[in-house]
Amino acid sequence: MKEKQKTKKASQADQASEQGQQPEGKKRTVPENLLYWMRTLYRESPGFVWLYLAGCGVAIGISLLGVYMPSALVSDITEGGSVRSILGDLAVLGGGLVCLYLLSNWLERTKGILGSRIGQRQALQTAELALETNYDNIERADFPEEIWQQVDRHMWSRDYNTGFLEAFAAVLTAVVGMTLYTGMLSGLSLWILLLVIAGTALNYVVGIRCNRWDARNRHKWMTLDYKMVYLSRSTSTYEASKDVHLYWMPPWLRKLFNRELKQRLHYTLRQQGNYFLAGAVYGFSQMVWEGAAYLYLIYLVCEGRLDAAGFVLYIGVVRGFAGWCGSIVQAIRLLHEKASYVEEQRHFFEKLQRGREKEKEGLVLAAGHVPEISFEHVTFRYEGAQTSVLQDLNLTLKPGENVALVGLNGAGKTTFIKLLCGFYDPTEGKILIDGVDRSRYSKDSWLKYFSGVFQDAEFFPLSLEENLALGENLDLGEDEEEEKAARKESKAAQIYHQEGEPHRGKLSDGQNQYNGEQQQYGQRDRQGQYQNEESQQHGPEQHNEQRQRHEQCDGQESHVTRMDACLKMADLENKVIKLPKGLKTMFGKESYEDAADFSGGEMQKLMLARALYKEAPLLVLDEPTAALDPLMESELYQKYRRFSEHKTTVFISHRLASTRFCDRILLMEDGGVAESGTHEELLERDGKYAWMFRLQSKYYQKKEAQKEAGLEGEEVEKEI
Amino acid sequence: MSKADKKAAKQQVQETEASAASKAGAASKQIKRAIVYLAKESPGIFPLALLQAVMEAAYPYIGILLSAGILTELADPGRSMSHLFRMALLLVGLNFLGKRLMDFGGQLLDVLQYTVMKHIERAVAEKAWKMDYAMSADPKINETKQRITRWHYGRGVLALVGQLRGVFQALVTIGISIALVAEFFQAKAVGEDRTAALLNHWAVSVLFLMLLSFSIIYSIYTSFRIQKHYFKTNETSEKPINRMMYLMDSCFSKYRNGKDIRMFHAKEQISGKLRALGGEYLREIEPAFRYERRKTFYSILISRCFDLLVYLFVGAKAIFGAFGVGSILKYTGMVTQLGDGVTRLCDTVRDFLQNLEYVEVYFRYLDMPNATAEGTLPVTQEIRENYEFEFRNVTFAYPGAPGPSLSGISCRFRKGEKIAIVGRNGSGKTTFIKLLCRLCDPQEGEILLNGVDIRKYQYQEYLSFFSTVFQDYQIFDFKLGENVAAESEYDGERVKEALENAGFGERLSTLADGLDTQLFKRFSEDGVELSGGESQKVAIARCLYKDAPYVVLDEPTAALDPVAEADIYQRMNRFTRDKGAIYISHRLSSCHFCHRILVFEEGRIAEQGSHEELLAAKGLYRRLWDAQAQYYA
Repeated sequence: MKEKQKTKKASQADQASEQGQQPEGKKRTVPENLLYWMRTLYRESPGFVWLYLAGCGVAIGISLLGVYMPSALVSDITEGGSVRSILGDLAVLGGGLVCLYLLSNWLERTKGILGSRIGQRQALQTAELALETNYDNIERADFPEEIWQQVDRHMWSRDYNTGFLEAFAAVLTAVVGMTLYTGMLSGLSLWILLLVIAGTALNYVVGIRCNRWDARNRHKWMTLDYKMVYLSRSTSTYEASKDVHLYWMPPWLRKLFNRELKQRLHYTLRQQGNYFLAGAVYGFSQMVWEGAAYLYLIYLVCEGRLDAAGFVLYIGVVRGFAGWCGSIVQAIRLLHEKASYVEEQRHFFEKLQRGREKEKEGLVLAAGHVPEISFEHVTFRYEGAQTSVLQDLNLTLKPGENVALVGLNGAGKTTFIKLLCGFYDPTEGKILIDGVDRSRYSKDSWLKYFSGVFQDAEFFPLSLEENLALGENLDLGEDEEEEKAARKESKAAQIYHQEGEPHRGKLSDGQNQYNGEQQQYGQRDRQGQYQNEESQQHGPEQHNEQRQRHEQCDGQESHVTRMDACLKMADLENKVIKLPKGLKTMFGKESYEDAADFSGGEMQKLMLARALYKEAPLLVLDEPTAALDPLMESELYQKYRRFSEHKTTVFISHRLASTRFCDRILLMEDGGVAESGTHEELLERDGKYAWMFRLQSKYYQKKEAQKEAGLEGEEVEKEI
Repeated sequence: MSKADKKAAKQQVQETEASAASKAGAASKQIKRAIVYLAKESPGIFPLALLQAVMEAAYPYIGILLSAGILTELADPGRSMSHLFRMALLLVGLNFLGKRLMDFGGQLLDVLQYTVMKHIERAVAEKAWKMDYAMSADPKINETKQRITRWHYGRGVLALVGQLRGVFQALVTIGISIALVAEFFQAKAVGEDRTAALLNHWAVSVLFLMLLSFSIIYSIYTSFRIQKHYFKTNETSEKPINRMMYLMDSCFSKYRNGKDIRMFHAKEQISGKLRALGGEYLREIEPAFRYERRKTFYSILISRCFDLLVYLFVGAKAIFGAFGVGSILKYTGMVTQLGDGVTRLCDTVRDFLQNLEYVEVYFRYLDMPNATAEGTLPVTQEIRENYEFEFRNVTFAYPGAPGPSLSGISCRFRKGEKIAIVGRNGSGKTTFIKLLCRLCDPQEGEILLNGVDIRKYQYQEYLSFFSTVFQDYQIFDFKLGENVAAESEYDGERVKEALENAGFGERLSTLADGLDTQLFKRFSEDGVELSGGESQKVAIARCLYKDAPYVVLDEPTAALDPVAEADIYQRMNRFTRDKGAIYISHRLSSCHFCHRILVFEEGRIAEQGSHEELLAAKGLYRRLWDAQAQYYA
């Protein structure tokens, strides 16, 4: 069905992305995932992978020398050696050991440094993908949790970098180590090793049972954990505080918390009990093989088939072998875990890449051209939903037309907007742009023609001007603190390069680009706050700089004037003038101490200013006046004509007054257009719109009528 | 880092040292309090921690002493196999038992600590639930709260358990080791050799002890320095990383913002900002990593070389017959243990000292006084049945705001009276009801309930006076019925009735689980998402269910369509028939139900009166009314 609607190109892109995707239910194997991720990491930073390989060698070396050295010393003492022979052994074996320890420490620390860099880089790559993926891929309730999990595994728990390679290195080390030690013990007797292996196998089986129990129950206690976190954090915020107080919820919330905690402790105790038993089994098997090894070796010594030094050596080797056995079990378990994480990562990436058009050229609208848009038999159903939100919708937005969209909650108005903007494609039917199917435009470029205010919009924790000119690359003068940061940045960038950390992939390109921008920041600052200081130091350059300044200021001025105009249009100029930091004011109280404090109505005006700043031929406004006072609302309506000039606009509002300023009113009902026409036409028709309008205007009109009739308010009440 | 920066940093460090020292005295009280607090939370936690400490200190010596004994006897030509067998069995048996005991104690301790941690989390939240509304808006208090919840085991009150355990364990270890060191020096090398004499010479022993001390002290010094570095780094790196996470949060947790990101093509801008913040974070933390890499190089070099020296010394003494060959295991083990013990002691003491601040922060947070805690008068049934509010010359400014939000407000309203508050955005309407509901207290003037300052009433009882729907009402991710009742045990019939009266009845009938429906998908796939209009109805139902004497509605219908809006207003009017009520709405038609209208302008009451009076007055209200009514005429 879907394919039919698409042009050839789009469907090809779709197929391409689907090919990379595994069919549902068929999971990739563990080795496949491990190999894939190893390759990814190696591509990301070969040096990082080599560090771990080097680490394996060092670990084996330390183990070997650690076993040999005491034995050599015992041999020196018991075989009537001299202090000099001890010195010699210490110098060779001990010196080697010290070097290896130093190397190992250096490797560990370097792994940490590189790991945090790579983790951050990959977390940012994930974030970028999520920023550019099709909107329908993220409009899911489970998306936030998924992406945070990914970010966490990259950056904090480091499952994807250090954790993964550690597990890998541990297996490699253990395999090589076990082979070596088996060789060393082969001269003696291998049955002790078999005993160790049997114990390890037992340990493994018990461990698996523990893990199974964990896996079966993990989601239960995770939910409890989430609930407790939610209870302790999300209910104790500033936003929640009013309701928590007025409905005096603390005793209830405490009760809920205790209930979850009690259940959680039940799982904790069970889990700890399992671990204790597993530990006991492992301990028991350890007791058996260690006891056997001691007895056997003591027996050999007493029989004279082994000397004390050999005893020390072999005890060390058996212990070492057991250590490898233990770590290989542990490491394989970890690898399985990491492989499942990799699987989740790949799955997540595939979800984000779903429907993504790779560098699709697509059609382009001529600058300033306002297209005609028509919906033909459009039906839309959200994925997995039973019912259609839009049902056989037909309508045409003529170029430059101002349309009001009204209807009850849930009539499909917002969904219509989402389809119009191309966040979603119709399930059935098509959307035509100047008679051409919309799918011939790329989603990204199609959105270029839109500006607007969405119902639930918020500002980002960026500065006011960055928010207003969202998406535009402002060449901003930064304040002092950030200027310093910029200088540091370029310094750090040098270090970054000197460290020999390879720059690969998109992200590092971005970083370079960013550094470039920073330099520009620096220049601007010289013209700004630092002008005096700098001009004293660089007298001769002044002329040149001034010229530059002129050029740049023109650019800056134009965006500042445009911003001012938009703020004025949104009736915010007075508010902004009062802000101590003006356009540089930050948003986001949670992370910026001096962040702006805007009321709901003011935020709505800001949204409007932002929508106006972007000059686009298509403007969508989803309830832009809900929080505005009557005067502002009215002013907005007056201005509406002006800022909707030469634009096609769609205006959603529950305040039917707004419709007066639109060329046409569309009343949506049950996912279709029930009525269409001008205000007067629809009133004449006396349908649903007329009913709704009367309902809302009852009091405004009645009052006038009442005044004439000398009626009192009481009667109105009675009527109800 | 420039020289000046370094100097400043050094000075800062010195300052923190000085202040830490002065705080230590005052902190002993806090520690006592913390111990009592913990003992009350979990009486077994300290005895268990100490027992665990002794076991863990003693455990390594089982292996060290017994294996040394075995080795010595093995090297002895007169060895007895059965004796050796017994020692070997004793060794593995004791190892097994000791390990199990330690496992058991450790796991039990973990569970206890986990429980206490959760209790602390709860206590922190509880404080936040109950704290004055004004305080919950304070970013500093919020940061403190977040910091405390982030600490978990590592810092704060709970960390004392681990620290006491660590100190105790270290002391036991050091005690045993010192006994062994004494034994070591008592054992004399035998022989006329010059080397033997040298080994027995007191100066060699002193030198040995000096080197030992140097090695230990150096490693402690290094770890101190590194910790200090990290401590400093943690503070400076917190800002960029928090900002980065917060920006991600606003893009991803609030995924609906994704529409704007795409429409405005903000991807490059946002990812650039994320990269910049991430880079800033790495720049802050990486020097500390590199510093650690450099510093640990020397401390490892020194301690490992000293180990070799120990081997040499012990080996040489063994060659000269001072003790059996097994002693090489015993005394090298002992030196390692001693080093570990001293290092642990110092680390723990350092942690303990650093932690004092966190303990103090925790108690300071819990001790923050609530202005609302002072009232004692009950809100009697009489008051509930007959009441009058009076604002007398009330002025209020938000902390840090350039001017007052309300100034010189005076007005009265009583039972049965319905008041509408209208005015422009930012004129102080919402602030007015916040003051009425005692979410904030006025800086000047007073608010009276039946002639008594509302601050004198018992806070909770006073709050029970109001049924409210705020503009930014919160519906929590619990079950539907729980949300309406704000309780887990509720009267199902009444909740249903409230939902029906709020216009949610139709939707309720479509929900399979009825009142037990889990709201939102956070905790369950089966959770039900509510639209803006629906959750507003749930908020209204909650207000109806509470059925308090006074009703406060701050734009309760902003998200509703005209039909639902008209419906709700009718129902609300019926509901508040013999109650008092305050409505705030930008839709002036809703003022119709009200007896009196207060018109707010820049924090003052510009006009008040009935609709007709105000229209006749041709003031701000008239302007507002005309602005809206013109479109409906």
